[in-house]
Amino acid sequence: MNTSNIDYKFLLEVDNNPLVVFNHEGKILYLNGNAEILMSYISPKEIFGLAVNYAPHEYGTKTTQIELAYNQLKFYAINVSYNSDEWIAVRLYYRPRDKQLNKRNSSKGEILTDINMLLDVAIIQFKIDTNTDIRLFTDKDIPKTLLNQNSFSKLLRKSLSSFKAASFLDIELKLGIGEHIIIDEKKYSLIILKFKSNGRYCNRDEEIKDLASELYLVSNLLENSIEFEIPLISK
Amino acid sequence: MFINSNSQTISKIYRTLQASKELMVSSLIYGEEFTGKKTLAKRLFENFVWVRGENIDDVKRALELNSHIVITNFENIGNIDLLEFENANVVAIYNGKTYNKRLENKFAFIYYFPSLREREEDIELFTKYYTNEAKEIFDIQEDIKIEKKELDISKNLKSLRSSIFKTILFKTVKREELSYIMFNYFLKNYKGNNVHKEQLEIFEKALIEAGLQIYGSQLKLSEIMGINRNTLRKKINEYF
Repeated sequence: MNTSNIDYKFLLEVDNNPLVVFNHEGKILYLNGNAEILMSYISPKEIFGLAVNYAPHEYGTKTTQIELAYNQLKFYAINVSYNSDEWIAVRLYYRPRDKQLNKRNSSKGEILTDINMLLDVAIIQFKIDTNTDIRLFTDKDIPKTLLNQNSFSKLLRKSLSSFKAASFLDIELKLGIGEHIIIDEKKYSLIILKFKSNGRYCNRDEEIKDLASELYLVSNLLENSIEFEIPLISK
Repeated sequence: MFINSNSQTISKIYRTLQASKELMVSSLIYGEEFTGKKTLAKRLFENFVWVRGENIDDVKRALELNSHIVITNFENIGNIDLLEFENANVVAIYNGKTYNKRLENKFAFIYYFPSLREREEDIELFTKYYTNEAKEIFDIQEDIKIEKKELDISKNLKSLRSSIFKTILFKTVKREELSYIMFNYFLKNYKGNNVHKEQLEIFEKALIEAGLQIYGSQLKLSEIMGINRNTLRKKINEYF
């Protein structure tokens, strides 16, 4: 077969891992689709900095295993390549999602649940002894999903209580547009639940992560925010 | 909404529990004894199955057979891990000022029910309520003023109610009733060889104390009592 017909640029474009090519001044010459997503969490200047730091000494390519995290985007390696002084390419390799999402056992006590209802109750309960100013950005039309209501409410309580001393708390509940998760070879939409403030207690993060993991949710706990990705499973 | 409380916190607990009524979640209400936890739960969950925590087998059976359950005296349950809360609305009432990690991990929602000391606004409300109740029971028409120092809130509503009933009874006792009370007391305490002197103190001390409060001076009181001023002073020195 004649390989000259292969559209290599297209392949790079659809690659799951972000790829960015800079000129010698750090100006972007090319970036693929996934790199565009990455750019909403990290500046081009920072990526160029990574490229310079992890570049091979001579022309060629070098892959370094390193844990990098930008919000929910997590990477386990970085590859830097160049064979000219005109350009340098950097590619980050996504860390596979937590393995429990590859297989999901139907958990005991799961029922079709309106997450908004659970969230409402958790918020009223949180407000009993806190003065935190809560701003809600919730999509009330989110379809019901299979959830263990008791465990999920525990998760909400523990997550909210980490913001107990915060002056404000933004809570966002929405459908992840164009975001999916594959579980047991089935594709599910994602519900995104995010709590964000100017600070929080992180001492119980492990408990929150464990509970999220028991519920088959992807959790992303940062200094000022907690985010959960909830698979939308309607049956 | 009607609940027996003026406390903002309790109103919020009520609202949250009401909102969670249709969910399959577990709620723990904890706090000192006799604060009104059970009363609140009765208003909200009267149609739930109620079971006491003293016998864990009864609780387990109730959880197996029902989806909407109130468990009272939850502090008596030893191993809470034996209980399965999935797919049920469970409300547990726990008498205790604190809860441990295992409870924290077991329940979806946890509510602290404040004691009367922490909700001054309710002391007045309940004092009025129990005063009316006592007046109705004892068929008392007159107005009775109860001082704050006469209220006992050491055991929350239980001691408050008891102190109000006693105060009202004591403040409205009639002569023949007093005589009957003393008669019963003497029946139990007729001991020794100096009974007259020892028991006379009960009568004389109260008589002088009330007189001093009403008339202020010993001179005036001695006149009213019809006894010698020196005799009164002697008795005051003896009793106070």
